Amino acid sequence: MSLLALRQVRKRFRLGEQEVEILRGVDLAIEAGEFLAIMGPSGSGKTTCLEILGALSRPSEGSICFEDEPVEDWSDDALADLRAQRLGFVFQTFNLMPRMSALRNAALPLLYAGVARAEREDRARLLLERVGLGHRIHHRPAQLSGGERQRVAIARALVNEPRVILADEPTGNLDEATSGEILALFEALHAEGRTLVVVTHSDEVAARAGRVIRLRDGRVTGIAA
Amino acid sequence: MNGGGARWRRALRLFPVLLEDAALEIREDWRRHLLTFVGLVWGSASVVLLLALGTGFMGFLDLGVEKTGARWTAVEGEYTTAENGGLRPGRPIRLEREDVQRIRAASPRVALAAGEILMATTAESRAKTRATIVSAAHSDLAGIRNHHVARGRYLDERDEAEARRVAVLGAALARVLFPDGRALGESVRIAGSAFRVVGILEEKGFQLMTNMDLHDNMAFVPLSAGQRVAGRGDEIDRVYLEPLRIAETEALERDVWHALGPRHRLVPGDDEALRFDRVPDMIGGIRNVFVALELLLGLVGTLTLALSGVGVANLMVALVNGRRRELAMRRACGARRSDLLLQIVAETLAIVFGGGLAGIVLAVGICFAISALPLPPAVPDPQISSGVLLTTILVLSLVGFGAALGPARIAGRVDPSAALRVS
Ligand SMILES: Nc1ncnc2c1ncn2[C@@H]1O[C@H](COP(=O)(O)OP(=O)(O)O)[C@@H](O)[C@H]1O
Ligand SMILES: [Mg+2]
Repeated sequence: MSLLALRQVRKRFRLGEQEVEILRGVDLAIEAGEFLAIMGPSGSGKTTCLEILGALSRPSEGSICFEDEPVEDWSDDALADLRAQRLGFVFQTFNLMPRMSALRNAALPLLYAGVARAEREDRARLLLERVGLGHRIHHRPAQLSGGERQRVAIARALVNEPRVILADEPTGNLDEATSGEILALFEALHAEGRTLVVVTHSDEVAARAGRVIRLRDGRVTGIAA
Repeated sequence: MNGGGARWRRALRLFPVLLEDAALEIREDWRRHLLTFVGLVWGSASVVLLLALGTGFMGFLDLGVEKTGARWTAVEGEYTTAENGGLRPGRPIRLEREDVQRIRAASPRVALAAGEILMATTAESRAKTRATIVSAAHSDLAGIRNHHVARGRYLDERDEAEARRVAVLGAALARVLFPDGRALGESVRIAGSAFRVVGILEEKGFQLMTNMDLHDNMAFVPLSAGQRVAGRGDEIDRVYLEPLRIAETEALERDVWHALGPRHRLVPGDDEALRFDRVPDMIGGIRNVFVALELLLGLVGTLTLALSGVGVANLMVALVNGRRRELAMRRACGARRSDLLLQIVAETLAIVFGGGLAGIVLAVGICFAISALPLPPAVPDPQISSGVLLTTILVLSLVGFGAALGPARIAGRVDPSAALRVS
């Protein structure tokens, strides 16, 4: 049984008059505990692929299974609940809520998962400590450096104890040193047994991954172990 | 059903947290909210003030009604228009004190009845002389016109039966005639005859359907004594009648016709021969005008507030559009579409009620300031009742939900995948 599986997934977008097919039959199985890197040139469909893996959008064709259960026909609310309870996201642009403290940001998924306030704050605080921001929990994103912001985002992605963390170029906006820190954090998470899917341009990230797949023109072209 | 309950529980759980988020947004971005806030303060203050003004007028009306008596009908003789057994039309109808008895005998619907003559004359104490209006009437008048005695007593049946020269003074008249305050038991000359003061009325202030505070400046004497002093024999100017039940006012008028018709040789249908002034009808008419006034004022205030609601809606649309990525990230974190709608509703309500409550406070302050001003008695103070507050809060809620509608729908359309797309 795989944790997450795409079967013959196609994704088309309408661009004005014509329809363009971005994913052209992607097959992919992700096992629990795996650290998978997705690489490929710009525009090859990596982000689109991650969107579908993260139930942020539905495939135009094909199937996505979460723990062997097809979810492509689930209702919008059911997919939202799936994200709230079993998925964590880290994005290149951090996507923190600018008015909120690090603590409130990190706790956000728990709000939608129905966790009570005291527990939300306890868990968020614990994870901020875990990513080395125990002393910054009341700071707002604007008061934090890029690397710190991404660590808040990682704490947020971890807070609901997700089955898998999906990251889209998590070091794309960071300098080399900071990237190294974030990468170390990912490695540590992997070492704890967490499942990671990371879209990346960085060979260094790919080097730490257990497996790398390459996308080109909407198809998986290469798998490296 | 179950799903509906779960939805409500979810909304109730999220709402307070979303309000906190909204408070953060407003506090951090207050400059952007300032103009909208001022508009809301102004809008809600005008709703409160205009409604309070209407309520003030209404309270003023009620008070004026209380002071003048609200249940009575006055019957006066006019002129016939029909010929009757050789009597020419245009014959004046002169009512007499016996007519009061005739009506009482003929109608079981009468609660109170009083014949009255009015004299424009002078009242004279040792200290002062004052032009005044004197009402000589049966003692039921006190109940009909709501006279309340502050000191001494009102006129009674023995005063009437024995035509005693006793008088009750309005509060203002008593003050003028007896500046030292000792009026009871003193003598006052009315139309040249000495009367003993047996009572002083409570101050009435403004009365509806009299000349402002008329009763305060009048003197009241028994009908019998007044008729003698005025030399008017048995004649009376009018009969005041108060029915047991107000709904029987019309039936009572028919009884009056039956009671007085034979005596005054009235032809049925000669409606102009007797004039009926129905106070309940008049008050009803005035009340309708006041209700219309209050509605109009409320509408003006509501429109003002609705205009500031448009400002809120515009602000919220701009805020939502600027926050698409944040909203998408919330969706990625597990927010349902309806959670985003709720978020926008919460934020809009926070803005509307923030400004609205400030406006209410402002309006309350203004009302206190107005009450502190020395205004002439005919100008009512605005009155902030719980009804005014509840109406304002209701209008605020409507404006809030109305303003949230558009921006909430925009927020609901934000796709979770937008969190990954740099735009
Ligand atoms: N919602 C969309 N509508 C239209 N085109 C889209 C949409 N999302 C992505 N695309 C297009 O799909 C292509 C692949 O995008 P993406 O998955 O972001 O590639 P990558 O992440 O590999 O750079 C791009 O050309 C992009 O413009
Ligand atoms: Mg991309």
